[in-house]
Amino acid sequence: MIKKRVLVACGTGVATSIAVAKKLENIFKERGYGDMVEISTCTVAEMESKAAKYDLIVTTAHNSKPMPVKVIMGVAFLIGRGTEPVLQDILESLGFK
Amino acid sequence: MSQSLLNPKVILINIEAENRDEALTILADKLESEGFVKSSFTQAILDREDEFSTGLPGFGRGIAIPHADPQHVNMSVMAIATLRKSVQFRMMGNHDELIDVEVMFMLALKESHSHMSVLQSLMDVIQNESLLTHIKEAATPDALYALVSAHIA
Repeated sequence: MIKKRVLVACGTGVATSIAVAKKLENIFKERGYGDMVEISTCTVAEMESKAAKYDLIVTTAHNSKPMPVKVIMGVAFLIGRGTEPVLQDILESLGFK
Repeated sequence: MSQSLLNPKVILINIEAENRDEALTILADKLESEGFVKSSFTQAILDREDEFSTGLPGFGRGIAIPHADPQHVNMSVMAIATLRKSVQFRMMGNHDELIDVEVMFMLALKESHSHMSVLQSLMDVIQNESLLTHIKEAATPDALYALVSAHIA
């Protein structure tokens, strides 16, 4: 099957996007979606040009530009609170439920 | 490659700052004077905070994780400062929300992927209310170093 592609973006692409990507990877694994998703990271500046190749964007940065795919705010994964509704939104957006 | 990102030389206790930019500048300048970052780092931190804010609501205590592009960094390290009086940062991802920040974890990273585990453990620290309280109350850089290094490899 074709894997769903998730792009995780943050301001510099070296810190929070990686932390969120790792956390998402673990959650996908725990919930049995590990083999169905591929996660990449980038900077917000790169996000616009890369977006079209992905099924979903998760970001920790403020974004006001329109994107060709859905953008979900992922700060909850950094602070460890309020993650469940965000996760449900992600799973739904990827067509997993 | 998995050497510690922590160094007591860049841990500051109870700094006195009137506002966010002053707090950021004190810690970034310290990183520069210790040689971890280039002279462009402080301005890069300030600019980046304006564009992509890094305040986070830790459990009961606001924290911030300011960072800048790798090109301004000489050697990867994580600087920490506790603030005598909190200063306001905008929340990460939501510029309308303000966070009263009491502890800053300033990341000077030369490259991304080698420090994955450190970032993961930093997130765990942020989510640990009692540890954050102990960090806020640490009396010396060495005490804070000991506290955090027990949780961050």
